[in-house]
Amino acid sequence: MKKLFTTININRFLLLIILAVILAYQLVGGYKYFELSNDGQILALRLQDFLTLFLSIIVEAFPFVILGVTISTLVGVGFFSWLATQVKTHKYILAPLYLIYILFNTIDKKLYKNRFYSHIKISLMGVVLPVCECGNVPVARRLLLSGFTVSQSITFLLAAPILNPVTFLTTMEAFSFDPSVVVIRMLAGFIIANFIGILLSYKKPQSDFLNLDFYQEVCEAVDHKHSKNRFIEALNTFQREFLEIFKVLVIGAILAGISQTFIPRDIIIAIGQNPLLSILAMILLAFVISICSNVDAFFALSYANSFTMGSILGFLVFGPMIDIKMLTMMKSTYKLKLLGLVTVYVFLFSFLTALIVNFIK
Amino acid sequence: MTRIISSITLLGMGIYGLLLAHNNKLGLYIHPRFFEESFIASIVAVLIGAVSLIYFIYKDRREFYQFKRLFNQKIMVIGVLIALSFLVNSLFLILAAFVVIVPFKYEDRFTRIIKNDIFGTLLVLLVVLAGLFLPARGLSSITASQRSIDLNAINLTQTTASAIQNFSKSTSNYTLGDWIALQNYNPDPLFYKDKDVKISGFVYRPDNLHLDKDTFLVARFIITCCAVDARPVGLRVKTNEYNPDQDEWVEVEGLFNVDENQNLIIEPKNIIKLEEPGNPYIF
Repeated sequence: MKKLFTTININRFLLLIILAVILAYQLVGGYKYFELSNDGQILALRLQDFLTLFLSIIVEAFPFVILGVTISTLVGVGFFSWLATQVKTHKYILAPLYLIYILFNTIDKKLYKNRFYSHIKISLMGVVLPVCECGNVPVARRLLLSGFTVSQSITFLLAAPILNPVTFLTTMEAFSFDPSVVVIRMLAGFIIANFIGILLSYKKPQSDFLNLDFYQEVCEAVDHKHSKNRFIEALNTFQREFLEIFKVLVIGAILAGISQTFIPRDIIIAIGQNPLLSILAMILLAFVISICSNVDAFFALSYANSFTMGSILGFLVFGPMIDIKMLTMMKSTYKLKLLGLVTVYVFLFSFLTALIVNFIK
Repeated sequence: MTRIISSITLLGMGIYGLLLAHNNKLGLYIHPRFFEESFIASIVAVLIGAVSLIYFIYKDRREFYQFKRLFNQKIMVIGVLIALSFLVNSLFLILAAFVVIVPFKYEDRFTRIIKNDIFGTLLVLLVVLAGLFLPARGLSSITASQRSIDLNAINLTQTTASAIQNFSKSTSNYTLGDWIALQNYNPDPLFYKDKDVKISGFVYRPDNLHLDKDTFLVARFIITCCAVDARPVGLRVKTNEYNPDQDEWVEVEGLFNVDENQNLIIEPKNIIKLEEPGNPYIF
């Protein structure tokens, strides 16, 4: 009780100070602080630009976060297993859905004995769950909660942004003059995601890779039974998951916004035609810029004139898998150690892909 | 507690998205190809946010009491601070709000439980507040100076292809984007000499181009996804008696000419000051 009183007093004290500061601030005309000097004005513009960049990431990612969280919630309340039974019982009426079901019944049968088969199948799940990079983190979390291994979820995270129909179409559209770009991009994404996933699957126990907070959630989920009211459960899951993901998205957007406002891009893209340095530059650009994998092909296209083809492919392969925003979002689920490992592997592989392309073309 | 805040965030973001769409401000942040998705997501967010907020307040009393209790505590201080900082319209005070969070000690058992959440939760609410109440503006010359002026940026589109065909006729309806695309197609400056030009954009005086004092660029950003990937493009303009400031939006009408360094430059007939448009970027 005593403690409670002291905290309240501190609060009031703080509040008083703050009010006094604000009052003083207004009296001095402090709100015009930024307009007083030239430096101040530049600082104000910089803050305004930071705000625009930051909000643009949020506004752009928001629909995909909603989509990802919705899918995650639907999986969580058992919608897809319900759908699967419906499709199985009415397979002649719902024939196209049944075909998809046959191809991708991974959601039902959780654990495969054959690690190669299971990883390859999961890496293709992006075809039916076309969520781009911001949306697939909640889905990957849900996969973990429903019993998939860490390596499988990583494979999904890495593969889904590249191996999905939207990315395929936009890359086709952007690089219509050179169809090999699409093929190499898809192939490289497929191979890298599977290789890393299969490599990680040899590590036992898999829970070593999980963030402690999230590991507790996984443990609780194992004991968890469906409550009677599915609707309420869905609301609960949706809100919990949304806040969790949105929070890390905000932090990621702040980091990406800061790096965009304060790191001059000239430094990154000064080197265009050097076969080695251009790859490094484009991969670094992909890491800093954190744009959505669904449309990054259009962005890469504008560099196609001045950069080597290999470096463009490096951008297209590395960018969807790893960037500042993604790493922050993945940090909510995985340990930093694992993220470092994955980043290094993805970097090496995309660098290798780009290098091979540079030497062939 | 967190679920109520999550509902509020969801509702706030939904309203924010709808307001942006309503005020034609979406173009400040994202490419038009995302407009529909953003609109649908905002509606979904408003619906789910409203339904769950009502549910958590009226049905799930425990959640609501936790929330009320939280508000009696330290968050109130921060909330008041943030609200006041919006009143005086200053980013500086919002940063101060974060500094204030640091000395708090979470002694109470309840606050210890929510300790892990509070920073992220406040951050999230702050985004909604920032989006709803801070003035929305397009990127400025500061960002342009971080990214080099890039004339290879636009590839030939259908509209510019027709622009090339009609090139001998009137060219005064060409936008800045058309001119840049044309230049990308045919970089020879003499090709454009004495053509009519009427373009709008913001005034930009980059350091690295070493422009004369009476020359500036009318610039715009090209975006393909959202403001994050914006790249500036621009055309040189000679000043007449009106010399606009950096970042001012202007409309320039005049003729193309070639200066002594073989750069394409606009000799303006008149320069008019504009308000920043709702769609400041080139798509």
